[in-house]
Amino acid sequence: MREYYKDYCYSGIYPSRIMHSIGISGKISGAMNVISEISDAIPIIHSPKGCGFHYKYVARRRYLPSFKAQCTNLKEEDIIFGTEKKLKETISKTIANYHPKLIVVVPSVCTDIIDGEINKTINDEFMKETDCKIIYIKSEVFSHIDKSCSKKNNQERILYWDKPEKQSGINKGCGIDEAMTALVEQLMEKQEVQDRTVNIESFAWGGNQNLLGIISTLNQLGIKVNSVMPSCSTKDIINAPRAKLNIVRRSSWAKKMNSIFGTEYFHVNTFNPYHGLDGIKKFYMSVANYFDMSLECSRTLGVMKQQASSELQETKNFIKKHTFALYSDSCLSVPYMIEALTEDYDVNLKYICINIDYTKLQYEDIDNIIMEKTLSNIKKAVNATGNNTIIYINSKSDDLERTFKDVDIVINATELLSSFKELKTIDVGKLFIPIDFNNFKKNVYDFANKVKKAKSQKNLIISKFNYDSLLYPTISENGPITSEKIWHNMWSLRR
Amino acid sequence: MQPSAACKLFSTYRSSISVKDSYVLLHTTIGCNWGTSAFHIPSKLNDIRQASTVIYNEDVVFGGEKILKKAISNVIDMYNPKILFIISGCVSDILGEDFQAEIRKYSENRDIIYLKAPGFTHDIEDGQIEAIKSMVDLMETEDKKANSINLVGLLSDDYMINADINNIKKMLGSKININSIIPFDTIKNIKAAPQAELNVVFKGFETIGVLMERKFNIPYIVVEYPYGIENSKDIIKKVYRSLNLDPEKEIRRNEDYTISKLKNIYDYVRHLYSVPCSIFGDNLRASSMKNFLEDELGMDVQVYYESGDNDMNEFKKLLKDSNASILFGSSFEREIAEELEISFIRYTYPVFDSISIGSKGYAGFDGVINLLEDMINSFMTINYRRKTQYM
Repeated sequence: MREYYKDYCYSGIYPSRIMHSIGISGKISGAMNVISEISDAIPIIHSPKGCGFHYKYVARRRYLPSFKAQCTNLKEEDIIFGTEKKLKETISKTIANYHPKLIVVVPSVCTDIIDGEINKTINDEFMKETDCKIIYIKSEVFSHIDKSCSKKNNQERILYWDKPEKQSGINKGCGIDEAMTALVEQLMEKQEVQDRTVNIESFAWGGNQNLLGIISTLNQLGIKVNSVMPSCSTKDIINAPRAKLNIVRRSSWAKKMNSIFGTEYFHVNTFNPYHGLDGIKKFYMSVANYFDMSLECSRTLGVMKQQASSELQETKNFIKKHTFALYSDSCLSVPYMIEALTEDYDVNLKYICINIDYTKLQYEDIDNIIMEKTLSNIKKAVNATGNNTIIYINSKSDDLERTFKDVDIVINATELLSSFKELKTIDVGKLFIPIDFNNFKKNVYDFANKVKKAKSQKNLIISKFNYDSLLYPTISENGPITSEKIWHNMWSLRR
Repeated sequence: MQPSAACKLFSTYRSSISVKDSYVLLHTTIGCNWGTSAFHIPSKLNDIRQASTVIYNEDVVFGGEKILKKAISNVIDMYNPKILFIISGCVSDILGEDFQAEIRKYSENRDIIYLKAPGFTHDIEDGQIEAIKSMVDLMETEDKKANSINLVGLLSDDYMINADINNIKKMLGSKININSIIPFDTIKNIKAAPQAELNVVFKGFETIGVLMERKFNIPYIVVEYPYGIENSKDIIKKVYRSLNLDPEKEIRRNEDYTISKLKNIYDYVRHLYSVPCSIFGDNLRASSMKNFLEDELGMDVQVYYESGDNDMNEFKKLLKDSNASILFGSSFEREIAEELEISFIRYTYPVFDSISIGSKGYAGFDGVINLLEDMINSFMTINYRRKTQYM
């Protein structure tokens, strides 16, 4: 798990949550994320200098700016008389200075407003003098994904908790899709398709370790990874259509690739169907079905699953010896937590204590239907465990204390229970859902270690800050609270 | 075997060189002189007060008296220290040398302390204590100063020591007067140590507390090194209560100040919760660091290893088998941190690949802020996946 924690610490230490509580990055950021992952590509931000300056800081990889990103530095006269000259100059200098294999021109609001259609003849001009490919991202919308998209995703997570295939998942976002589509439409070339090969989209697998775990397992099954896009070279992307299947987190660009090159795609909309040993097997069986490898893969996966299960037996027995209470004040995620804790880690949940703050629900625009469905899901999840888990809702502090005293350990999600002295707690906020047996084993060992070391939180420095009850874990100070609420109000207007 | 600590000679030296106006003469071969100075001077290039008798073959055959006398004369003629520590090492001890009577002849107008510190006997702590005991012998009974304390157990080549002392003074507030810091003080102040009403003895130096209580009737309290809010509060509480003062106002002042600073980075602090880490160091500092990381940050200390008779090969193996993504140690642990490509915080002796001359210490309430600043920055600045985020 060290590599996982390194990822968490070194690339994840940046205050993403706070930044997103008062705003989200523009779509340039998503495009920059895609292009910056291509080892021999350079983005040119077609914009005034401000965008060129600050978008070198890439929202989704805050620890790693796009240091070589260039900008056309548009001025007033360019906006009035046209941007082509500046763009040509910038492309020319970028090729001379950096010799990239690929230049991706990223549009900005200025070029979008003036409808600065990037002339294909520019590309033709440069083709004569360089082998550097030049492509252009086309803006789908003026700003960012609309508010309703993430709200819809959240609702679907509740409504279709037990039917995850009905969740449509991420289908737009932050300029990533626009950039990926540009790669498909303008860079990839038709290839002879090789059986038993896949491309994998780099993003949103819960970290690099999960991605590496998936690649490793596919290799063991005899499925070759043709490319991990876009974290590869320009040549790899050109050759991407060689793969028979794309394994993707976002479907739009995969649909486009399917329509142009006929590449099939397996859309991993949510990880939830794939948690635990059975889930992991299900994931690879889904992939195997595309290659008519079901029988042989089923056999191999069965052996791998059995081996992991045997190896984990002792650790799970250790976990099973303890009794647990789960405390949460963000109940929407509780059904998923119950499933993961009881099925994957063999946690013996004696109590589930849920704190429902109706003001918070209203603020988050969660209506009664969603809330009732959530509670129903929680009950279903508990029934499925076969345990006599007792559910408490909005218990008073004294009652909570009595409940907590009746178990060995309280699992407190991201909430802190420092007011309950001498309470042994563990935080499962850092658990991720691995989609390979090896990472799954490590995850269970790590959880067992947390159980072993569970301890009181009474002296925690983070419990000494005053948090806002509505916006927890935002600190209770006028500036942050007001700004977060105003952002929430304004963003909510964008349907 | 890879030692996790130096020998008695080094610890004797460390206490002796800590006396600010002392001179240390090492009756040893040249290696001991080199090693001790290498760990003493990185942040104190102008504080070189040591020499060696440069024991050679002929001294082994004919005895070291001649060369020792020559070296003492050199030191007295050229430096004329107020106090001279003569520390003999392995060779002298194997030869069965004892120059006590001879050395006494040079003690006019100065204190001379002769300490035998062969590396093959005793633990590192024994040398420290023995040297400080020799200083206790020089102390004189004097009138008490109200609300004054001695800090016992701080050495001049501890990393960030000057800043740590300032932080400790600051957190104790204006009501408390630091009478002497033993042994990191002038010999005059050390001799006047019995003026204090209380000895604040850092863990590991209890012997000195007991000795001074018996000799000068000074009560003592034993404290942890003040890493973290709780250990710092504990020192204030113990000191104030021992002197019949109310600590609450001072504690509140310090804690409020610290939290007000940490609010600026509250979400980063949150991020540290349950992160696996590893600690290596001397018992005093390592145990206090462990308390801070575990109890106050909620971190998961997966490997805890104290210096002493332990084998660093074992430590490295334990560390490799762990999930630690940050290591706290001395300059010698940098290699394993680099090998595992994990974040690294230097805090324990010896630190020779970083300097500390400013006000940044890790002790006390200010230290909490500084330490968190360095920990978080170590995450942010580590050379990690610099080409692409994935793959």
